[in-house]
Amino acid sequence: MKRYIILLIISALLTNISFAQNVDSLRKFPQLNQRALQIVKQQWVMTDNAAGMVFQNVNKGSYTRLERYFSEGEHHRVQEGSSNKGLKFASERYDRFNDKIFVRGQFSFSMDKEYDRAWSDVINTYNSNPYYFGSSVRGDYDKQQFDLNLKVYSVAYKGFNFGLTLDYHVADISRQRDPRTRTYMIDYSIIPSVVYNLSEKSKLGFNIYYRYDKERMPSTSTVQTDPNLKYYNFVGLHNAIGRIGGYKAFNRQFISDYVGSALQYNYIDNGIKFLISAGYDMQWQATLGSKEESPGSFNSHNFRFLSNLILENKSVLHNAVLSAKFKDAGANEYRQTQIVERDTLTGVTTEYWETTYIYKNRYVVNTVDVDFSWKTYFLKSNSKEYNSSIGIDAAYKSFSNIYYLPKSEYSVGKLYAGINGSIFLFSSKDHRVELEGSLKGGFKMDSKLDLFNENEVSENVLRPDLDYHNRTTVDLYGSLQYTFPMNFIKKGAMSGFAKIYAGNIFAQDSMNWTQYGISIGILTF
Amino acid sequence: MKRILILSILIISLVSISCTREEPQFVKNMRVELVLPSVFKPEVKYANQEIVFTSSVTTYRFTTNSMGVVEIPEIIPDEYTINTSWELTGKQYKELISGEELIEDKAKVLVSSTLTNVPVFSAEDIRMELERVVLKSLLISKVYYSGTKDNSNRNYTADSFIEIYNNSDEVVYVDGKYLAVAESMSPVPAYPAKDNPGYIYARQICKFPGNGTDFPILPGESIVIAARSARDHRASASTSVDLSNADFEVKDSDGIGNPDVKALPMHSSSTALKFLNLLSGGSNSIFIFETDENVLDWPEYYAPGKSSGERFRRVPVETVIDGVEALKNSAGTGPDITLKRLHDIVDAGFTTITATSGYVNESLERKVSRIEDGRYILQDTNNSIEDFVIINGPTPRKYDHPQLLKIR
Repeated sequence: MKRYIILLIISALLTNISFAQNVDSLRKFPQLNQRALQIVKQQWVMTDNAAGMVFQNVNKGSYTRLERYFSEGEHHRVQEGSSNKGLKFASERYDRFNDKIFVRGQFSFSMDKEYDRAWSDVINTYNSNPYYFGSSVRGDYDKQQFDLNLKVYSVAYKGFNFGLTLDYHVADISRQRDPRTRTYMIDYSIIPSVVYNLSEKSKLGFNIYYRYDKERMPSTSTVQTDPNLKYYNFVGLHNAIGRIGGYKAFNRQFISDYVGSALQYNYIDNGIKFLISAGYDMQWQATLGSKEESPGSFNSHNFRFLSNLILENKSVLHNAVLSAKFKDAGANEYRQTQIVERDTLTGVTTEYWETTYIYKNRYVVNTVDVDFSWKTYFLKSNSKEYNSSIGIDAAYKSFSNIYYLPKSEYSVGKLYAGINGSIFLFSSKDHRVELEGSLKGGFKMDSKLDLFNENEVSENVLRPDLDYHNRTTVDLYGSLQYTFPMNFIKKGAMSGFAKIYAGNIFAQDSMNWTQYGISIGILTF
Repeated sequence: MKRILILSILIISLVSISCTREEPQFVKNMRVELVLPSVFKPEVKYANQEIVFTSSVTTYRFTTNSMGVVEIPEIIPDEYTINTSWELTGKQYKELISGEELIEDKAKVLVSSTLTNVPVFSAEDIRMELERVVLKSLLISKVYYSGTKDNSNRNYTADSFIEIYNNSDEVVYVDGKYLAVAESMSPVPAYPAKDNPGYIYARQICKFPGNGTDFPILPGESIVIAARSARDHRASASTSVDLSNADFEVKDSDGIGNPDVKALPMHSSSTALKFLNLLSGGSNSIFIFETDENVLDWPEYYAPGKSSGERFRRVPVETVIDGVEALKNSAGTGPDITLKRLHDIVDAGFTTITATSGYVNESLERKVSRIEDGRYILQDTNNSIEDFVIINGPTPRKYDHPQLLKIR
């Protein structure tokens, strides 16, 4: 199966190559750093509003890559695996339908394997629906995921630009050890948007947002029957019920609807571009089990703020980005009674669940993610490409999980700060070698784990997880990318590239998390 | 600039509104009044006694005040089984009642009450009427039905057994008494206790042999009844038990099966099975009873709405000596108490194994209340939730397992 998928990816790559070829006799080859710079300047791509993407042109062309990646180490959260390896194919193309409507499409497919994971069989374990489930026995998980994203945007019509974003994801995660769970996920979004041109320099954008996602685990299977195998149903923090054989006939699904909107303002003048965006969405998530039994529901308010400043002259481009995300979420826990009714005439039995009590907001989640970066690109004389770049970044990330009655609380706040940069070690007309690197530190600001009582979940999951967050970390990363013209392709012009990268997170207590990978790909006009 | 300011104010307002989440609240200032049976003198109150609230996730223990009332400052809203019991000697009991009763001084009297699945979601006062029970001499002390895995990792269920214990300080004879299993129709009982007051509908009834004094059980001793086969099962399943020295084996007659073990013949059965059919995952509602009447004269009934299939013999509750309700455990939801076959007067609660379908080598065993002169006095609050624990690996005739000795 894996072989067929790889063949399929290579076929798709070749198809993409031949399809994307342009009959251009000038033999001018596309450059990755030129495209990267254009995307940096396309500020609206960082928002949900596709309509504003028209204010910065990105050259028509495809960027396609195949990546093999690995990561492993001891510095990881308990409900995550101790190593991963995977293969990813990704392609992105900017194009136009006609001279008024433009499009950017992204596609990716990934296959990865996560080793030695336990205590969670769901995709979103953290700061989300607390009614997840899992086994304490570590096992390997295979994951396959398809992602599609399409952004369509138009030129101005009577002062308005229009846009539409379609986002689609499907995934399949299967555990390779008893109890063998299999989880399916579908997630799609539809985001219509509009920008009103207040003046030549000022733009006002608005988009609405609808998203649906569903994660479904229909049933579990076992190859061998371990009579003592427990399966855990969580309800928030360490509150969980572990039953021997509890995986039998267990099934569950999470179904969410999200509705939201966002406002943007963009100022563009000579040498300055400033974009600000503020958005909000609300999520309603139902949790359903066998015969529509439900342990509870989940809802969240999500706030997003973004500001993006670009200052540019002929020799230098500065880009400062501040983004902030806040989540305020809660789970209503249900106490339900199974009602069994039998028709004494027909013998037909009807079973259903009746909710006898709702604990409103028994589990509450708050998260804060604030990221700031300032990056300076030193431009070439043509101002279309850069020779080198240097930047700083900082982030504050925190979460708080509280379970009430009786109250238990888990919260962590961490600060990150680092520097990054890139330089071309070699640069001829079409051959380039670029070195990128970054160094980042992670420091605990505060952490708290106050539990009402201790049990096997607190001992095996939460306490080690707190240790993970308490560690000070130093994250070192570097990559080397070689870009070259693909002269052997006689028709059209395309550049190829090969990249290797490696990084390591050095954490306290001699813990490490190492990642490395290689990718190859092409860039076409 | 003005627009940005307005936008910022709007965002801050939205964040403030959403962050004021309503917290779930305790039920506060609740009152539970415990009322003694009318035989007690009016001035006697149920004072300084423990009352236990048990939900699926937590347990509370409160103590009554001098008026026999529990004032609960706060409690997590949930459905609770509320249980209390007070053990008296016959002598103590007689000093506290208004009239006279023919109870020996050394007899034991239990004053208790259990309310199951009580919704405690608001601060409504609860009134509990206490009942008086003279402690029975014979108790079902161990029930092993889960089975295990044999040496080839296949399901093994031939090793099920029941143990009966003499909890009194006098010799008790089992001659002529009955061991029975209630009907176990699935997914819903044919005759749930809540809908059938006064009677238990038995699927199988075995009658102990003897002429009155042939099969004594000494104080603090027990008898083991092999439900299917009285042999050393460890040869087939290493985690199983040795039943070769059982006192009784459920079979037609002596000489078959294990010839060294006395037969406990089936007296009445809704099926053709010659053994006691305990279900490996439950439910198993087991009880012992005694009567001078001819059991075979008691009526038999089909399941409601049916005119064929199994017929269950109706046993009057007042004949029951002791019973244990072992419910099936369900994945995700736990045991369903509405499926009980035994009335609260027989077993006010229930017990269960942790597995949903058995084969886990788990035995339900009665706790030890105290040890008197080396004799184990088993706990009998008439509530299996309180009285039984799950032991991994059954231990016939033994009561020194650490889990059994967690004396209250």
